[in-house]
Amino acid sequence: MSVKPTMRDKRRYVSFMVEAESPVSEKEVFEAVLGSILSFLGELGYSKANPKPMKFESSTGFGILRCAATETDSVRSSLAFLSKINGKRAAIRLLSNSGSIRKLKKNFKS
Amino acid sequence: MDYFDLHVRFNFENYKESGFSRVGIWGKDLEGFEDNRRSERLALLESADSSYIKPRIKRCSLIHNPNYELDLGVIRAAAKHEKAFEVPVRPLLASSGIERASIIKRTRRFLTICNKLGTDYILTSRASNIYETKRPAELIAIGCALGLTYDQSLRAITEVPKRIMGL
Repeated sequence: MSVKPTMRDKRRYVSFMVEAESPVSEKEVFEAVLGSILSFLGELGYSKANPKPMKFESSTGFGILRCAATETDSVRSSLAFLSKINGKRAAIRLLSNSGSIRKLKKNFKS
Repeated sequence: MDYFDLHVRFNFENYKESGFSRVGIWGKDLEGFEDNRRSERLALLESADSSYIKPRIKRCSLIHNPNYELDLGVIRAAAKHEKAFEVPVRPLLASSGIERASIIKRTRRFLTICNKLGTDYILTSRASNIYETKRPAELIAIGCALGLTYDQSLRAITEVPKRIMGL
């Protein structure tokens, strides 16, 4: 039996852009992102934030991460602290967050 | 809205693309404080010793204590003379684990006291290359992680730097 909509966890989608000194793969990016969230928020905070990688385009560096709506600010702060991806210098540029992926993709394309 | 990063340590030419209206480049717009200085550039008074800082507060533009020492006299004097403390983000990026947690703890306590006493502060990147620069949204997010509200973080990269630069 599925959970009622009112009792379901509320989610937010956070979009970001990766700027790195050399090309990075989706796996490397999300390993670094999830690692940054874990180290910054700790195990309890990570469990509350419940981050999940959604999408990453290597050609443009555009990515989307899903997280709990109540922990969006903490997740954004964690992303801002990331400075390396797989040993290469990199920076995460925060774009926007939204309740739906479609809106983020639309904003990115425009 | 105009955003400012008052302390970068390289020739950040594309700052407008990153969302900033002005940046303070070390050596060009911003320099270290010296007792007999004569130039018109912004002066950063940096010392871990509060007794060194206090008598020089009137003559500097920005103050930074790397240990974020809770000297209420210095913080009140900064408020009285309308000076601002610099909170650089680079030490947080360069550290990890317990060291980073310790820096965050001291910075949070310091900023709480600044808010209570009405002392201004600015958030800067102190970036030495393009990958260390932080755009306005990222500086605000880091400010929120340091215990500031969204409005306080926004003010620290808009109104306060604008006032310090005399714009």
